[in-house]
Amino acid sequence: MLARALCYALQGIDGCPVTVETDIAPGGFSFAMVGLPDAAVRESRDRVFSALRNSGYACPESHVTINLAPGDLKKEGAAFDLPIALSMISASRQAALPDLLKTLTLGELGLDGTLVPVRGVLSMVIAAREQGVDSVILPAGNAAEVQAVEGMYVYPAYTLKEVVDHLSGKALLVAQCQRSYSECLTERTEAFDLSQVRGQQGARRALEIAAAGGHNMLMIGVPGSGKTMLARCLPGILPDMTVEEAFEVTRIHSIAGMIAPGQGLITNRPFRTPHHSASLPSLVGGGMDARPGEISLAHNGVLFLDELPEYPRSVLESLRQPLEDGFVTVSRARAHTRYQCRTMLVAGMNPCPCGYYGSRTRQCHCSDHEIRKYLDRVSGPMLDRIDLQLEVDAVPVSEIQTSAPSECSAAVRARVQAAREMQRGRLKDREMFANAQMDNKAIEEFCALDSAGQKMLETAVDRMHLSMRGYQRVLKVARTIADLAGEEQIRLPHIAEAIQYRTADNKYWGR
Amino acid sequence: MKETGISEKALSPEEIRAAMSESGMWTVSIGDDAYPELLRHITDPPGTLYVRGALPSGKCVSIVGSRRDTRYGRQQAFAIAKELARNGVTVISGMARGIDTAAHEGALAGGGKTVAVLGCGADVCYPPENRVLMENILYAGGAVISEYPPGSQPLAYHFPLRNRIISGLSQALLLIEARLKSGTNSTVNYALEQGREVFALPGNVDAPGSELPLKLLKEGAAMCTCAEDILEGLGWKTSDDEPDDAGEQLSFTESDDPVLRALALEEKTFEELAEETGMPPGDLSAALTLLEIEDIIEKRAGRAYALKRK
Repeated sequence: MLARALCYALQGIDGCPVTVETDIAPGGFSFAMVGLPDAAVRESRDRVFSALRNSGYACPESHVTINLAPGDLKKEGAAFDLPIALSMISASRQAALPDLLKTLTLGELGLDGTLVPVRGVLSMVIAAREQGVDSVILPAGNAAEVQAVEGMYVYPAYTLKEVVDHLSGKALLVAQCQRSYSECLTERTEAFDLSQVRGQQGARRALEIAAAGGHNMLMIGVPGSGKTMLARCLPGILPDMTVEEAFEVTRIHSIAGMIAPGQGLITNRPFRTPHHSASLPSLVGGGMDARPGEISLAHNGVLFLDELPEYPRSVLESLRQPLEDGFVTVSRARAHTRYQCRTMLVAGMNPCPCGYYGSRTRQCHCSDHEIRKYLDRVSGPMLDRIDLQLEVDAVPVSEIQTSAPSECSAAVRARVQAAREMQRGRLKDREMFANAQMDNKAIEEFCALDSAGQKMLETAVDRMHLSMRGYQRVLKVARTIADLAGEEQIRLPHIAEAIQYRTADNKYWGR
Repeated sequence: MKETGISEKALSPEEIRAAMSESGMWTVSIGDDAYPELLRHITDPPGTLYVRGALPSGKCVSIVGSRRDTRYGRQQAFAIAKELARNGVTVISGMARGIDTAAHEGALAGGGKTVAVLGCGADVCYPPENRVLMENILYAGGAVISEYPPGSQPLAYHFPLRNRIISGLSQALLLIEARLKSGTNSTVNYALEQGREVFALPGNVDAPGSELPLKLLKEGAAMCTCAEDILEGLGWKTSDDEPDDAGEQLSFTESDDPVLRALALEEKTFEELAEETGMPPGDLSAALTLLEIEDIIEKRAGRAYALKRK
């Protein structure tokens, strides 16, 4: 007899429907699974058989054919275990499961019949919801992840038997309460707060500007000057994520299998710190099944590259285009996926190979040549994508002990949010949302200077050897500084401050 | 003609002539009147000099030091060379990375002449990043000199020999930074052998670059802390020639500008300035940019700011 069950497969970031068809026909025992299953799907046969037996069901002893339709779509992962088991039970008439095609079922099975969480659940559930499916049965560990999806009855289950009892009407599962996004947001707590940063007034200010305009940022400083700590505070001063943003982030993390069982919607902006030994696929995405890379995991958040010159040049260059576009296309033989990666790049680096060039406490023992070689590992085009450059100085221990606690992230965030709103109003016709995205045309239109500012900037270009590229960056940053001050007109002090975040470029790279 | 003058890929006479005319090079041999008088009398003078530009005459001081320099060394080399140049002294060095480069640049900044003695052909730029510097040296009326014919490559054994010309061309030698075992040491030995006055700039006792200068100072070399020490030591200028203008830098202690007041005595980092002036970081950044553009202050490594030395 034939039975069908509804499941969803991952196709990149999206879910697409898959019908699990099981046919049990008379004859000696045989088992065939068709429909481009990968190894994990093919192995489900052994898990399912054991799970059936250990849950008190009989295993089919005749001709079993399982088809995963559509047949030309590659199926991955262990999420098909549950629908396969259910369709077998139904096909072998051990229970009547009438709603099997109307209810989305997914989950991996343990040999004892327990349900094990799988990855990519949020994408599958969202896709199912869009296609009119209104109930889903999934492993309890995956339930929290989908609690903010509207209009879906979510039934968390622990064992195969519970699911069968529910579908056959014997004993119903309890649907999970839906939670609104604003409720989820109240849980937002950041591990790092700016109030923990002592001193560093200059860096704090730069961080605020970077957050307000969405500008990429480079911090140059001696080891222990607090570059990493400052960067970690950045997500906390960025505005709260919108519902859409939170869903985007959670989906990417879910597909990468990075949501812990029981973890709900991600409401904190991601902060990713790949090590400089990370491979190119792990950064931009790839692998056999074209999984998202670090740059996509940092979507809507912060990608922190510490020790920037230590990254292989090929890796840095491959980050350039995605950073510009806000998405990355990962192509593999069998998969072709587009992931979003609208992220703020924050990079940290030492001023020289030994790290102490310009330090007051330790002598740098690098030669000019060594320093030049080290700095040259960061290419001009890469630097060009970084609006703010900042030198960070170590804070003396005495100051750490004596200085008063500084302003907390929430206060800074309020100012950042206000500045972002100004930008959104100005840029919404151009489908941009932050100053960092402005192209030449937008700069021309929105970054007009008064005569005093214009004159000063011209002098600066001359005196401080600002490049033409640097000139545009200064204008963008000045726009953000004016936004933070709540002013529509960029005035001289705004320009003057913006120039400070450009001079490191010149000093170190002479460009 | 010495064997050392021939590089691995020796050019034919025609090629040499072509290379010389292309780079505006001329030769002077030891019998010529134009041959530098000081150099003629060292124990092992080069028979022929290949010269681009004009040979130095009059007051000459060579400044030498390590290629593994520090900011301190570089700054001092620059400042002293600049001051010497202002007093009409030609600064001679080897155009190597580090101290040499700073010395040449200082002399150019002081509006004076400077001479680079190379260990390769005078038409070869080594190190290559000093191409612009080489052009500037010639443009400012200085010279690039070598005892090796055009096209000679910078071979390791050329450099110790070239050092005898650096010291040989000058009346005095100033050592900035060097380790005990270094090429600079050979220059110093040549200078002593040739009877040149040797000055050394003191450095921190724990810095590797202070090894040689401090050793020389212990052995009786003249201490140099500013260009005046050399000028006076050689009798080119007496201490009461003109009053120095040390007052200029102190004048900011009474300034109305809180930033300048804070910087009046020493360099400060951004954080220290923010603390001292009590200005919000944004305003402080803006103020610093304006002062920088007006050329009153300069930015140094590690986000430190200092008054610009006039």
